[in-house]
Amino acid sequence: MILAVKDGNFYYSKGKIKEKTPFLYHDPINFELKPGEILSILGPNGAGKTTMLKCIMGLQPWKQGASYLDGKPMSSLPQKFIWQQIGYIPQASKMTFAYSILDLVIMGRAIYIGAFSKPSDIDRKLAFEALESVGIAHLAEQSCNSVSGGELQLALIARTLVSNPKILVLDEPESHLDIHKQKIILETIQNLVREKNISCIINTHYANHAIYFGDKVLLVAKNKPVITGNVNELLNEKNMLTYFGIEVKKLQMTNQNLTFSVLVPEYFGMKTI
Amino acid sequence: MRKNTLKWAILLLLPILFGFLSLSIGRYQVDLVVQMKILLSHVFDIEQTWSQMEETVVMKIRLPRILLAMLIGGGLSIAGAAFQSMFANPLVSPDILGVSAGAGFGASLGILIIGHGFTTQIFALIMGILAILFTFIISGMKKNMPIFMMVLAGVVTSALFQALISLVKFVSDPEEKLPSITYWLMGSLGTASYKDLWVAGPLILIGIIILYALRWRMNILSLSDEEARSLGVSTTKLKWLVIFAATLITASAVSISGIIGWVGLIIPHIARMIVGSNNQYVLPASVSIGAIYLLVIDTLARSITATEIPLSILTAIVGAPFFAILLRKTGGGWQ
Repeated sequence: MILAVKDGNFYYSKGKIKEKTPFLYHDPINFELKPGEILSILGPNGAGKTTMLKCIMGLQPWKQGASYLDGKPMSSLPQKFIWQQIGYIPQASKMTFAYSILDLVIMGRAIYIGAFSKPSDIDRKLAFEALESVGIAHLAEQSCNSVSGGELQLALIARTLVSNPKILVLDEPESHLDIHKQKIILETIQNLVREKNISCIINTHYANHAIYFGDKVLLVAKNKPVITGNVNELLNEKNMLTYFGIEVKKLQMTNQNLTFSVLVPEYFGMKTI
Repeated sequence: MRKNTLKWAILLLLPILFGFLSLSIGRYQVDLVVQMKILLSHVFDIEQTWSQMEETVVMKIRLPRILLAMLIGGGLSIAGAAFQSMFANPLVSPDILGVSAGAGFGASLGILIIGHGFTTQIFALIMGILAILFTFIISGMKKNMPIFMMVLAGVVTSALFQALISLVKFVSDPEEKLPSITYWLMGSLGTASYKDLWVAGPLILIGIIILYALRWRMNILSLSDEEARSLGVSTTKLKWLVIFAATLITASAVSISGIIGWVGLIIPHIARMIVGSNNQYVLPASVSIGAIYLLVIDTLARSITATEIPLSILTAIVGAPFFAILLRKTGGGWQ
């Protein structure tokens, strides 16, 4: 499945005033994502990253341009079909009701369960397998309010996996997590993309995480051109200064047959000798 | 699994058992065996060995009242559970959208103009539904309206109809009508008859069946709109259906029994403490526990003193300590 956005842009309409509000993005959004590819969307707070994700998936309509699935405009496709292809993983937040992790994951089967029906043993089995594939099957019976933020995030990933999506869309999945949990989440995403040959769009605050995926990147910031390209071309010292207003150094190190590449803000660990 | 089967067997059998017990309890004592014979005599051919008085008490007075208490208790509880889930707010009760205040106003006005009776009940039912429509008009009835707009509109509607109730009380005759209205507003099943059962019973039952059928879907309704949509569920129609069913239950209940507070708010919490948070189980458990609860309360209301005690007083006085103990013991089932 190929996901493409052509000429997409958005503005917030304020009440009933008809006057034209400026577009949220400096340039229209354009990209194409093939199976096995990961697109990292990077930008400072308030750049409209979450809004962009919602527009891409059609949760919010583009004010200009459109999203396409395999060349067909998404607005012409039935909702049910779209959500069988796309798995959306919102930021994990505490739930009002303490559903068990398994119950939470079973909700991902909603498309296949009638409105007046309840989950079958097959749904239960698939949910359990999805939990196994992200490595938290042992938490199935725990309440989603008693597990850690990282585990809840993994459960939300599992929730999309039960409907076998072709495209995963994640909104800052690794924020609020400690460095070890971040690693688990990133590895899980990378493995899923490779094993199932699916594509993935991920919003992130961490340029280094985009480097970890080593694939496509989209840079966006207020009043700055929107640029799309490969991690190696785009994530450099100049762009980090333009888009995040911060001086970074790109450190590269080769150790035997491994290459380390990382962006480090200059103010970190800087000392005059 | 075996423990669960036992739990559900108890939840299913207990209301029936309590129903039988309640038939024999009251200021006019009827022996349990006699009572069973009376009941069975309507199905099988049994020679009448009991007085006509006993027959009347059991069949004409207590049976419809007990059935109504169970239906209303179960109905209000499942409506409360559904609303708490839909509004993703554990403090919501079935009258959040103003239906109780509306129905209360309709009944007060009916009592003022006509007096007690069938017409007044219909009046209450219609005003309850009008109140909900009023809530929708205020909230704008937009397609993807935020849920808190609806709650706010419900608060406005409730306030308005409460004021209208006060107005009716203010202009009514303090010797006769005012006590009658006040008493009615506190809730009672003292006048329950088969006629009430045939009118309100089916409506409440339809509401319960709709919500019961949607029990698993309620889990998804408790998520944010966008999350639900991303799971492929369009929530707009579902929400209307839930509101329709809950309104049917609440308006019918209020038109028969007056305003019974506390049940729809508390019973879903007790259900969650017993069966967990999954609405697939919370909704049926709420029906069962709510039925038992209102039945016990109503039995107390008609039997502990010579005059009937209003239901809203007892639901809170008996319910509050009971709920407080449960809350302390279980932590409310929120973890």
